[in-house]
Amino acid sequence: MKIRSIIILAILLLSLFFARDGYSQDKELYNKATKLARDKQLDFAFSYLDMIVNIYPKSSFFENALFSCGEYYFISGDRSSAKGIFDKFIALLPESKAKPFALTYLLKIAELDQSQDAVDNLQKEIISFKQVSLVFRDFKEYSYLSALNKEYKIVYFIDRAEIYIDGDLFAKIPF
Amino acid sequence: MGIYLRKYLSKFLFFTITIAILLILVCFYSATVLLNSQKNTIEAILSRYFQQRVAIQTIHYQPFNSIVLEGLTVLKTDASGYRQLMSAEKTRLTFSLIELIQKRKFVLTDIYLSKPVSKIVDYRYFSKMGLDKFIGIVNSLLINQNLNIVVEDAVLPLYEQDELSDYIVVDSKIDIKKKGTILSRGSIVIVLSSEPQRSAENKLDYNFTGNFTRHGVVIDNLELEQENLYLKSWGELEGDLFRLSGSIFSVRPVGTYYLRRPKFLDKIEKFFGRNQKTATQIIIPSMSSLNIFDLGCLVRFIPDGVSVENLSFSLQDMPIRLKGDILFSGPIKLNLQIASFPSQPLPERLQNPRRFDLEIDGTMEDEKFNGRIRLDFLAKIRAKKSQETIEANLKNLSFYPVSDNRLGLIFKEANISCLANNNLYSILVEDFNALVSIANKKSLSIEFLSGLFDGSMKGIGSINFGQIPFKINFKINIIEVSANKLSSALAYLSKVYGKLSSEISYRNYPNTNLEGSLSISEGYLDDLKFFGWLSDFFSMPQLRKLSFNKISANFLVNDEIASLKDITLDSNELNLNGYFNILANDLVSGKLSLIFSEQLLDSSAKLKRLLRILKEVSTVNFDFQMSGLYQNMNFKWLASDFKNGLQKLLPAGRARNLEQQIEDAVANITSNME
Repeated sequence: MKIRSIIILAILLLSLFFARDGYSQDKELYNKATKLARDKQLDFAFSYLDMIVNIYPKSSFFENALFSCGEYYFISGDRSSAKGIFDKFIALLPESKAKPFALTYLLKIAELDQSQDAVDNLQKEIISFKQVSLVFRDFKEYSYLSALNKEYKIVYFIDRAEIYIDGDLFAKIPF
Repeated sequence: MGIYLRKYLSKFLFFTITIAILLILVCFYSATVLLNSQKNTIEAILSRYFQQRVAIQTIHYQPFNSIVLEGLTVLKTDASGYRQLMSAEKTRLTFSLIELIQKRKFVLTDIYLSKPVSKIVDYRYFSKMGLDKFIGIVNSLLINQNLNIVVEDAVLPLYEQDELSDYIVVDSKIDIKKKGTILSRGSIVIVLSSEPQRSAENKLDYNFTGNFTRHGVVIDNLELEQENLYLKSWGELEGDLFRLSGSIFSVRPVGTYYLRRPKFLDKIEKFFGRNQKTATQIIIPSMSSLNIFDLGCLVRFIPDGVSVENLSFSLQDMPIRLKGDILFSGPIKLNLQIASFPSQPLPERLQNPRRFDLEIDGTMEDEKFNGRIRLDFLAKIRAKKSQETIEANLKNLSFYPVSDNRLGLIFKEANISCLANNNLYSILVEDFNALVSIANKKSLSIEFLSGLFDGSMKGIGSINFGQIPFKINFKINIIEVSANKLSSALAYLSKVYGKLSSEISYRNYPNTNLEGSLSISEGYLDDLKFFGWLSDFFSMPQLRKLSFNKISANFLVNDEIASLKDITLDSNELNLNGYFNILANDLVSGKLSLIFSEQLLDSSAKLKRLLRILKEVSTVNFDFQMSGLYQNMNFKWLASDFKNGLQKLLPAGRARNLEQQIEDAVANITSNME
């Protein structure tokens, strides 16, 4: 009886393992991508992230993968593809904590494209992302680590927002 | 013998001449007697002509071919009996002696009317009924014979009045040619009792050439000319339809300009076998202003009035169209729609800043208008466009002459509302009385006084028509109005009680600018969210209903900014100072400083305990700064002794907790801001 119970449990565990096989596949791809990103192999990292985006749209890694695809395109100088990815990111994941950084990339692209209306609208979206009340502090900050191993930080002061990538000031929006 | 014969001949000649004169006099007298004996017949004939009853005082025969009618009266029949429609001191009818002798036919060649006066204003003559009568009278005058009509000093009242004081004087010369061509020249002068000396300036000369047909008239040329007005038009009246095309200039043209002739005129001319004329040449000066081009008018006469199917023109490159009905049965009923850029596709039109739709709907009775005036337009406020609607429901609106160049405007009540960004604002204006002064042909100034809810309002302003959009500036004083009653216009005032006074200055050039000051005295703030939160936070229930001595601020709204400056709130419990700006991109900036009074501190056990602990702090003040988006405002508590003391006192966890509470409160307060 005991042996029989053990066999059933083993079968259940195995079936669970195989059932999660698809999920594991995306996790594996993601892990490979992040490892390659840490090793500065961004092109290879991107190829894995792009696979996640295209093959596993329901994966829990989809959000980070999609953001980093946009990030990769921007770094590579392909503004048009980067814009497409970040627009898609904001449309699909409006609650993502990476949203202000996706907006910042779009802001940078709009500045480079000299599209003043888009600049104004994006600045407003970044400003309104968080309503801050500074009672005993002078600022509030929110951070995000991307799949390409870049550390993002947005700092809200009462009269401006500053966006940093890996500690370097990337954008400053006075208001 | 010779002398005797000469004497005899002289006597004979004298005798013959005397007899002849006597005979002629007898003939004339007999003719006059005969005519007077036939007075009833003549009255009947004339009644048929005018399609109204005609009465004549006396008839004289005037050698050799004229009949003079004295005291000619045309009477109008209505429910109350006969009313005098028109009377003329002297009417002279000249007839053709040749026709009378040769064909025994009485053919009129001249009609002379001296000082005909009408006392009745009946707009129903502008309906199909009046039109049919008019065409009937004209057709009865078209007898394949030249006929000249001279009307001298005809007086038509502007409105029903016991003693004629405001009226129109018409001088007219009408030549009806054999084939029905009519040439007419004359003038129209508006005489107002308030400004009799300006009659000459109000003189409008006209020149008309046309052809009357069985069903109407073809207008070859209709010109109207005044000091600053020149109309050139052509068209036709056919059956119930009246069509007119043309242009209006502010001065008589002096350059070369070719007007487009409507195709139907060419067709008509072709039909009548007339040679086509070359296009009308109009000469326009380069400095002319406010000219109206492409005037097109299509009016249908309906049984009780007129239906304006299309009145379109282009004013300073802005196409405008008027449509609607005017009914004259009983009180005059109006429904008119005036629109700019009427043919523009809707999406483009809605984004056109020069687009407007004006609707006037109501009745006119006893010279008073009751009804609705509605204006839809695209407003540009702080660089943002918004579709707005202003609607005024007016009671007893009327105009009255005051003095030289001045016109009074009065109404009993107006409920004026404005729908902007889906928010409805409204005010009730009562007993409005304005004086409109026409300084010159291009501008007018307005002074007004009226009730506004339980207070009053007075103002002065001017509108300059020299260019489009018109230059407008106004200064308005609002005096002692209950602030809460104005909440229908300013939602923030729904919780503010006290007497509000304000000085407002507005101008729309070079850019839109609204600025002024306001103060509310001896009132209270009832359960204002922010003070409600402070009340709960520091256990100070009196802040829920905060009495104040005075609230005051200066404000400024233009394309770049909406700003409240020098905000002060003076009360026994606290004092507040600061400013608040909303920029064109919806970003706000502001600083407010709040100082609690000792009286208030004494009432809060919580604060008293806190102040005992914070020994170095004597006053409790909150200085805070606001930023970000208006409906998602950021908040910062600025440094003060009280804040620094509190921060040192609180353990880290408690500070975070307090911060969270304040954050929630700020989010709650700002999320409900409009």
